[in-house]
Amino acid sequence: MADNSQAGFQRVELRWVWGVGQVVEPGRVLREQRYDGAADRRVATVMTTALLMRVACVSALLALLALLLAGIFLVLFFRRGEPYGSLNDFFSALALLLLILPAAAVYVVARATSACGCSSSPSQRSPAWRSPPPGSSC
Amino acid sequence: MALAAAGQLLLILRIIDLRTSFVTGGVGVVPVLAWLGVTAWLALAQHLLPEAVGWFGAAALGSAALVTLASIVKLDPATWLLSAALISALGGWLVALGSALLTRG
Repeated sequence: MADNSQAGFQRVELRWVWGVGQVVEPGRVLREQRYDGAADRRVATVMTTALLMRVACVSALLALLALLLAGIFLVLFFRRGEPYGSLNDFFSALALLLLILPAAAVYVVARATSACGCSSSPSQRSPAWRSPPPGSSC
Repeated sequence: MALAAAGQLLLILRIIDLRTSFVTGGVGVVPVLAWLGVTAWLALAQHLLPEAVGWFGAAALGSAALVTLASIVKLDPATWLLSAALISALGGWLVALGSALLTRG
């Protein structure tokens, strides 16, 4: 039901009129949603898994930067007081928000791998977290 | 995560007081810790993520527990040292996680 429209995004048909279950699902970040009158269907443009992984990587690194700044401002707060406490609060909040996309990406990896049975047992040490081979359902 | 972040931002804006932010932060940090544990389990037991993610996640959880204990007992130098260890572990975890996701993408 998906067709490529733009790099990093794909167009999918929403199965329900409400569309909520499919749209809010992690890894399927809604970009725009509209009703296609000609085909009598509701379609949405969503982020592809590959783009989600790249954005989540950048988000994780930015979270690291925010975390380091939060730590520095925490030390400064205990030595000099305000405004470093507020800065620590701000960068802590930023780090937490930036962790949401990596969490969604990990969920997508885990779900995709478990759905296709790629999860490796301790004896099977193939790195299931790497990009799946072409043609794989993962 | 969103709850804890919202609490911190509302505290900065003085919409909630420090005591209320303890509640939002306390409730909000639970899923963060749970997620750290889940990534460690996914990496070390299920091998869905690189092992480094799991070890750094486990180290972060361990150092978070030790920081809590040290601050309860009021061991000041130890609290600071363990806090530095916690930030280092979280930093390693984020770098390992980011590079794993990049590999996947």
